[in-house]
Amino acid sequence: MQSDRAREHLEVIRTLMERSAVYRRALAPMSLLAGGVGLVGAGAGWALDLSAPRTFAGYWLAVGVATGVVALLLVRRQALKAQEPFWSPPTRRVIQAAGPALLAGLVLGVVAWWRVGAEPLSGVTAAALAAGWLPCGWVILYGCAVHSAGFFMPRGIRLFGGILVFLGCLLLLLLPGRPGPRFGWMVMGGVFGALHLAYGIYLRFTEPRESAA
Amino acid sequence: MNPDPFFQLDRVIHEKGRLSIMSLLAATPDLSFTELRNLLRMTDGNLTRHLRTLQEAGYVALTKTFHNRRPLTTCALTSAGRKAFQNYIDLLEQIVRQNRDS
Repeated sequence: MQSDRAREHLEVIRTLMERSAVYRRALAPMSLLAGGVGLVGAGAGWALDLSAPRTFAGYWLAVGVATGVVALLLVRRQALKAQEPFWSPPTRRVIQAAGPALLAGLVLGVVAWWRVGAEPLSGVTAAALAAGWLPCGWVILYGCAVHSAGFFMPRGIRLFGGILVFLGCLLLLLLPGRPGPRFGWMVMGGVFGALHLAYGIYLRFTEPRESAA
Repeated sequence: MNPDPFFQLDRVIHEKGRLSIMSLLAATPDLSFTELRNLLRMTDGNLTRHLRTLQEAGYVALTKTFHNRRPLTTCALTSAGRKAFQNYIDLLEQIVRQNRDS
């Protein structure tokens, strides 16, 4: 009898300890924001014909950084609303987990932006790098970041990260020999835009209303 | 002292509400009062009462600061609290082990 109660207590302790380390801010607004920016960004870039390799890389770098900053502001707003510190231990853990892969993505973008304008690359190679390899690399690295952060977030986020990594790898395998700008716009708009939007809508209806970190 | 580990369990921690508070605080450096309240779905009064008991036992330290001009109460385990919690878990494990072996 005592043993059963002791086991129950240990189970409760474990569950609570896990729960306290989990990031609990509402993710739907962030996912909807990323999705909206991804779709609008892809549409605008396509319409404005920003398909020159260097412009493409620079454009998406700027969009990515801006989205990241706005996402952090959203988290801060949620924290203020809940009268809680922004830099809470769960937030710190999530950012530390996602940081390396996001930094690698940023460096990849900067290097690509810099290299596609440099001499040794021919026009075709530069276009293939910017419109093909770069978006696929970004999807994979972003997926890695989401997957790592998912260890400190509610269940489902890790799966989402895994799907992104899988998609990125699949796109890399299916990458045409000479990917045109359309491929790049479709990957960025489809994966970072539509997929996030769909996930955001799903979260909007399934997340608990009163989330707090 | 009673050799039965069940009777050695710390009665301050053993209460359900206080055990929940200790468990949450054990996994993180600190938590705000609001975070604790939301996680445990306790009323302000109930949480305050349990925190006061834990504070009097020297297990929890409360820090009052201001965050964006709003008062912010942060709760953290003290080293004595961490030790007591560890001891509590060790005893629970001992109880489970004893039953398994017998």
